[in-house]
Amino acid sequence: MSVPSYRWRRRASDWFWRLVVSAFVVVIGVPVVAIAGVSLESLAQVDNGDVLSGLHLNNYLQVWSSIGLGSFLLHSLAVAVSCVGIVLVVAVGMAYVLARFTFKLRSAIALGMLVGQLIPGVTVLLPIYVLYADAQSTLHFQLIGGLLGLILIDAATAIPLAVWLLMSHLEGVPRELDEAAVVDGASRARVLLQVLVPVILPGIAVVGIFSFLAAWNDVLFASVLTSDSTRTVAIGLEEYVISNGSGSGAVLWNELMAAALISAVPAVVFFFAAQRLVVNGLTAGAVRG
Amino acid sequence: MLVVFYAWPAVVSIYISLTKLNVFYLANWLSAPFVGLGNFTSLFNPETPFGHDFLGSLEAAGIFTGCAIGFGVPLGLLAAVALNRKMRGRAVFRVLFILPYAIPIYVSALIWRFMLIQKTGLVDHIASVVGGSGTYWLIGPNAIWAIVMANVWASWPFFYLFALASMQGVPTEIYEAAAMDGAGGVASFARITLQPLIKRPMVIAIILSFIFHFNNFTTPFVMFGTTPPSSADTLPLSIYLYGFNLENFGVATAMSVLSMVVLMVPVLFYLRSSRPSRDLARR
Repeated sequence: MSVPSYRWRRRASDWFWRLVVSAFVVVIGVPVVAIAGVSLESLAQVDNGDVLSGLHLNNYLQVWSSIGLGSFLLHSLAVAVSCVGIVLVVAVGMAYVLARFTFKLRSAIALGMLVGQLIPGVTVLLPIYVLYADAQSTLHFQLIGGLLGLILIDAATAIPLAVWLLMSHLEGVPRELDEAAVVDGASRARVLLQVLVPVILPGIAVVGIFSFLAAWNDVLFASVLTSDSTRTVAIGLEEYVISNGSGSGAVLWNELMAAALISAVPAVVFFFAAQRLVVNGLTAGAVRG
Repeated sequence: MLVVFYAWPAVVSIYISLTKLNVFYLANWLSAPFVGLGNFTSLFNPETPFGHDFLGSLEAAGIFTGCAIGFGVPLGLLAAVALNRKMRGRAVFRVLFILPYAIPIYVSALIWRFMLIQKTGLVDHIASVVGGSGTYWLIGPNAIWAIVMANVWASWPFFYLFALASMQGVPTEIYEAAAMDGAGGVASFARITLQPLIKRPMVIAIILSFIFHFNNFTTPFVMFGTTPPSSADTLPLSIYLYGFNLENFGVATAMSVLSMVVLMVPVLFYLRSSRPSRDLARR
């Protein structure tokens, strides 16, 4: 008697969990599918909610001229790539010093890295803006409205997390490895670049991706520090909606959603790549013990 | 560089928060009139416009953060439990469930702004099927729920990631032993999964997400721009508007100093409960 009832219960709970998963799939999927659908409709279809009367793939061609997606993406790419470059150079160096040398204030600086990543962006931006304005008027050098000021603040806010992650990676590398290289007569810089960097490459990749995403997805800094001619994609699209949407609703939602989806693709791809690297790193560490 | 971007701004911040710095003094901020604690006292007085805005936005940020955690934790746990079972297509679902979190916040905010357009938006379409009528989501008192919906949708997988990762560390033998001793599904979830094994990672996830959501500027800004309905004017947005729209940097900086004070609470919890700080202390 007890065997069939056990089997029944098991089957019922299987169905219950299948239902739960389906509910999640619907809630995740509906907005994404709806938006992808809108990006393929004509504007009249969007207004009528008339979904099935034809595809308009040319939305994906129009956005480059009507919204100016090309220049937005170019600025975002320039900012994100420069940010990654600065972060990697500074963070690898700092992480090496913090992980391999003992000196006064070391743990204070390491703790500062941890707290630093938790400071709100607005809190950093206000004084930086005031200081940029000051530097601009005394040095006659453009920081507000250009890309350089944005790159610097994006990089500065990404560095604490980067240093923290790289530090823990470096501490996983046995010291004997670099000590052996020093005995063989290699300089500190060569030890770092030729011995340690190859070993912690997965960590460096994760840090690079996180920094790229932080810069690519940033709205706050870009909204203040870029001008009409240097908009990045996140703030460019936001501004497009707000400036057109407050009036009679002249937002080209179909094209906007096409643009938003295009700009989301690199971010989503990088996010999943980093995700896998992080998981691999965790399991590799577990195997190593 | 870190001195330039952290230490020096911190000093400058505290000084600015004590002054009446506005656009007239911006080119030479040291010349702004010094008002002592005046900015802070007016922020705590609900009779003044500054205080009214500050306390209102503190409340909005509280609701926003509370909902993100209050809905996100159960959703994340439920999803993680579901996908920790053997099931056909599990690998696909595991990736799909991360999608809302992988989409940039500005994109999900745009998506939700579009879906919440009154009457023609998808949300009102669905609501009308079950008998609801067109709601003004994007203006007035409902606006806070618009950003809450968008934010919960976009952020719950954070808890799911933490929960699933720590559940995978739980050996299946424990569950088998519990089943043999007669524990049902609910009991083994409460006693094994929830209690000792994934409590710590979840606590860390909650603390971190408190900080992220309390600081979330992007969602309200992308959905409402520089003229948000007051119900959706969360603290980071309010600080931003005081600073960069009203160009009242003194008051804005005073608000941001106070928001740092609020955030010190979870930060201290984080430092106490996360392993990194203990590793540091041991050195």
